[in-house]
Amino acid sequence: MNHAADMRSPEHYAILHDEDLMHCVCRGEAGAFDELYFRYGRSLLAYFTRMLNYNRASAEDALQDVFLKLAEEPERFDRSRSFKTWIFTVASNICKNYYRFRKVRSDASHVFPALFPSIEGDGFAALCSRMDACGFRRMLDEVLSALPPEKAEAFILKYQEDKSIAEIAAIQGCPEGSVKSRLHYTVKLLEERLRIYNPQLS
Amino acid sequence: MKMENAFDNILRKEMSLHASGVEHPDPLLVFEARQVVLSRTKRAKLGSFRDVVSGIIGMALRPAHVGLCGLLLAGGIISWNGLGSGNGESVSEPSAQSALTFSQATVCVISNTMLTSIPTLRN
Repeated sequence: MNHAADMRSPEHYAILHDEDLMHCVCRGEAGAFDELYFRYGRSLLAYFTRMLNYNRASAEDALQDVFLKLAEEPERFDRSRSFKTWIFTVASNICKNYYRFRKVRSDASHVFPALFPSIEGDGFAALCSRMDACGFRRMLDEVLSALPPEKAEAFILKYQEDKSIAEIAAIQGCPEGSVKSRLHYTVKLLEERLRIYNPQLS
Repeated sequence: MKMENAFDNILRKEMSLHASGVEHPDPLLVFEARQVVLSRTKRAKLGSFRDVVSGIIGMALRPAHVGLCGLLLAGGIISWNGLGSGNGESVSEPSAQSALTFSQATVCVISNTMLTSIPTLRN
């Protein structure tokens, strides 16, 4: 039975729900683990990168920690709960540990990625747009880095991961009202700081 | 309201995975964790017997259940042994009682003789 499980193809795991994949991980099926890593590796890395002030090395360490925890104690996952919420709760706790025990520093070598790839052409207008976009993103990242971790986290979970208020509250272990006020504060702050890039907001 | 929605959309676009510039991480990053998962296969094989048993009786078999069963079994064995030794005594009892009765009867006869003889002697 287990031998047959080892021989399962990646396509078999691709159609399973996250919760079922966790059950397979409990039985030692590495294919299920690979599938979970494929589904969540990138978004968790982006989350850690933003949460840990764009320090890529710390983000990768934190990602390793999440998947190591998942591999060591998959039984701790309650199958009646959503896996997405659970994995981000684990990630959130790891972030808290990083803030508590390590000095989270910004990575000076962070390079802002190519902006608005849809904008093409070498015209002056396109160049201005690209510069504006670059400035906008730099400012956005600066504001996020300066925010208290719980506010930045609520913002990242909503705008990067598209999580609902209830899900964010479950991940952060706080009432929904607190999440709403954190998001409201952050969006207002961003509106003020980023207004120069969009005069229509004033 | 429209402006707020527009700003919200911009933020979503800027915060998207695509805009983050983060590519899919290297699978080697989680090599150690993967090995941990693979090492669970052996443990899963050991646990398979337990799964079969629990599957047959249709319940999740827990250490508490096994412990309770063990206690009940031990209690049963002890009480059965106790009953067995009790039966053995009851089997040998009649012969001992009959022997005692016989000897008492003998004594009684002798004492009766003696009792009858005592007044004779007194007389």
